[in-house]
Amino acid sequence: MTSMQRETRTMRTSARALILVAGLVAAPVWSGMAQGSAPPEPDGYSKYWPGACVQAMSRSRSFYWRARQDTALYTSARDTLLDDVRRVARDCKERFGATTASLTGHDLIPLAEVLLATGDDAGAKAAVDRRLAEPDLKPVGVRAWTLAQVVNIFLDTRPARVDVARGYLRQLDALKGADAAPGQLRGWYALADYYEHVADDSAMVAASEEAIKAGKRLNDHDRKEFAGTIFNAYRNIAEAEADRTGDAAAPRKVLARASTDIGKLPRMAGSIAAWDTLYSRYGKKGATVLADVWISAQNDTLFPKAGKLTVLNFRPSRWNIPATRRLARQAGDSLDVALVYSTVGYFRGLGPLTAAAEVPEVRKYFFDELKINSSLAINETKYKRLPDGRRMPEPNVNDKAYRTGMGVSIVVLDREGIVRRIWTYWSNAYEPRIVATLKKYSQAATSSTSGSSEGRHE
Amino acid sequence: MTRSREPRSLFDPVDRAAAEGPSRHMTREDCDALFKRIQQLSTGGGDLSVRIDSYWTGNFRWARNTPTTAGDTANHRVSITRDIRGAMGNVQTNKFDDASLSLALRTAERVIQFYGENPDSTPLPGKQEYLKPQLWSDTTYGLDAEPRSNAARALAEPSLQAKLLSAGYLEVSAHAAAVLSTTGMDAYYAETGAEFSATVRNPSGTGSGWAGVSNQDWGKIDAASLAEIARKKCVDSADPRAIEPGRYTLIMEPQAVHQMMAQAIYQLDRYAAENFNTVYTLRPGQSKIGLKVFDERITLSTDPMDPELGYIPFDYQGYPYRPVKWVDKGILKELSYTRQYALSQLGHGTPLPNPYSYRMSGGDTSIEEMIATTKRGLLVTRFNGVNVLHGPSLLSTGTSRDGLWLIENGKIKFPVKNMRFTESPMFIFNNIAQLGKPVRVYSGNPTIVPPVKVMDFNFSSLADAV
Repeated sequence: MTSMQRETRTMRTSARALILVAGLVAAPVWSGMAQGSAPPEPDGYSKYWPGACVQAMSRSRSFYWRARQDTALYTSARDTLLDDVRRVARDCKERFGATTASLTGHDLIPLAEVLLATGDDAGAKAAVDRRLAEPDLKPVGVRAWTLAQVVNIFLDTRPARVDVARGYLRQLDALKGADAAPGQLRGWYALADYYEHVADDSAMVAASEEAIKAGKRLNDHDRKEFAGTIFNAYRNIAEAEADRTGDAAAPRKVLARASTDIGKLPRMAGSIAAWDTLYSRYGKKGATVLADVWISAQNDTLFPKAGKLTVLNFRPSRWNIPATRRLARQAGDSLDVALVYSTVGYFRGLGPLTAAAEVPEVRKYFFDELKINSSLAINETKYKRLPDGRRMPEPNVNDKAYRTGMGVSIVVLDREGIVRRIWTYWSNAYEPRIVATLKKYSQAATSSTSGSSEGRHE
Repeated sequence: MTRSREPRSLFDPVDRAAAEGPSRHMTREDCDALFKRIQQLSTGGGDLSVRIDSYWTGNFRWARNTPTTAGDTANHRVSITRDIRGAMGNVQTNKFDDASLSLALRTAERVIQFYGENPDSTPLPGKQEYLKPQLWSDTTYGLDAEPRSNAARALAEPSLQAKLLSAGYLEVSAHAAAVLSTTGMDAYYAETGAEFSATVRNPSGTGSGWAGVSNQDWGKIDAASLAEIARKKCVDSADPRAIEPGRYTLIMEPQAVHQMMAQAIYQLDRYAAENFNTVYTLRPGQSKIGLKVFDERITLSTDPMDPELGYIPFDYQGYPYRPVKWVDKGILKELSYTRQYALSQLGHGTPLPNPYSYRMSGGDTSIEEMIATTKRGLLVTRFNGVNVLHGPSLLSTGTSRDGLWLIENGKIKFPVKNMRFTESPMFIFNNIAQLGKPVRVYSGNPTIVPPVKVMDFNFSSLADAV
């Protein structure tokens, strides 16, 4: 999972958790960024320093998180800034743009971000260069960290200024010593993250390799501290290999490299093992999806089926249903799509529900409201009660066959029912990747030698 | 030559009618009428919920023996939530004319445009059953501007005569809360509140005393006694001596106990305990429910029907508060949770909200007995600026305030200079020597706690504060 995805997940969690309040006193006064609140304005502290203005910009972006998900904006890293973000940025520039000369220190990088958002690239670069010339940035570690931050803001704006970011990355790479390595790791990882979202796998792999090299230069303390980032760089490469080969060997080889490099760092052995289990599913026949209840638009009840490409969606939700629907429609008869759902004991706030009572609700939601055009497998989730009363679900047969505790979202199987690609998270940026994967395997000659026979598919 | 008129003392009552009637707080009928109007202005289907909070306060504040503020204020707010298939928009306003309400509704509906339906969302709750505590006091409601100023003058007078500087705050209030919705929620309750606190300092700034309490009923607040306690503490705490910081046996008056225990009460959240690292987290994914977290003499409970503790019996969404023992004889029994948590984890749909009002069990040892049985220790009135430094252990810091005394061989020896502490309620309330009789303290949420003597309380440095 990339840092951007993690960030987005956190954002979603926060948005659900926060109380939904917007202020309206004498006139509408907006506050908050939570789901259900109104778009934020650059008010309060943002009147006094550009950093807070940038925070207001971020809040504007996060406010539209759902809108972005629905329209595939932002996740692709190729779009332009939303109007609200631009508006906040313009307001920030009006407040601080004219007083650039008086701003120093930590205000300059946020100012550069504001200027970038308003299209003033020259002003942004001047602000960054002024910051880099300040004496407190002489220590290598501080300078490297600041340069990593600069790389990030040029990649994070829309459209991303990749060339400028790469220019600062060169400056970052020119720094020597272990103190510079954390900044270099973050800088290269940010670039890899960008390339992942524009689906340029070769560039992503190259940037990830540079991040790994920087990781090797870290001192012992920092290696423990940044082990997760180094592992994510390895995983970028493994994902690219999984995408390229559709087989287990190549990504597992990358994980073996990771194991040699960082396997002894805290928590890394477990992460590597979990992903290794996931990749071990590649190239093998996918198990037949079994269900207590099949609800099917086509009256089909067994997945995967010989001769057809298959997409299994283990996290059917309103986020990925539109894309799933498009895939099913575009591919027509050559593709079967199955949504795989496990009962949870309640549905949309109704509950507690028995499995028998939950199924009609699930059916109504997916077929009547979301208008899915694919099959829906529903399994009753067996569970135990912990001593403190909590429900502890047990994995069902499909979970054991496919999800392996990794939170699998989408699985693509080729025409022989062999697992070719697994995504552990849904992002609209994945839709073109799924389309490309389906295209690849619809054109590929069937290969009976690439799959093992351990699956339950017949 | 015309002599200018003497300025009127603010202690003198103003010759005007006290604010009363509908402007004080909204009645059940007012709330129903407002909800009906909002409902009529609402368009586009879906559900509608409104939370109405209507406050009236009458206050009197004085400092340096001189009145500074006095008045009546009323504030009525409505929080409007529109729910269209799980997509929710919420806006608050304190303007109740049709145009403002329409604007609020349109804003809430505009917010919904950004959010599609959410299958995980909890729908607006329907009708609920509530407990019916007695929370109303005519004595409180009837304490108008004149008796308030008279009371304050009487309380400030002794300090004035003793050439001390007194400050104080007296407030009476009425609060009506309503949650009404198209899904059948039909909650309304009104309560009164009163609070009084007094601080007395000497002119040289070396001594300070404080006393205060909150209660629904002004008639149950003995303001004269509190003012006298504050005056006496000021005198007794004058010219403190510095002693070495370190671990001391500490006798905490109830206000200080509340200030430490409140940190633990705020953390009573089951989802947070299981998903984040809070003081009630045993390990990732598991809370400490069923385990001992405090001394076995401590029981923390809450009950809207508690005659000394009562509070409005529903939360901001209209879910009922119910009696609960969070901690029973030191063992963590319950943590609060939402309806969503109840559905997904516990197999029922009844949330357990935390009202933040609580009663802490006590013992029968008086503060005098605690002092008499202390070989060497300190007595503290209350703390100031208590902040949590480390969430998972609730390690907190703050300073003693308004009176700290050294005890030696069962007697108070002399006042000592204030000190900063670095300590956790989870440590000190597992290290209890004696407990006193629980009493109401000064707090926004009704709270009843005892005085407590704890061992090895960690004062980490001297604090140059009065």
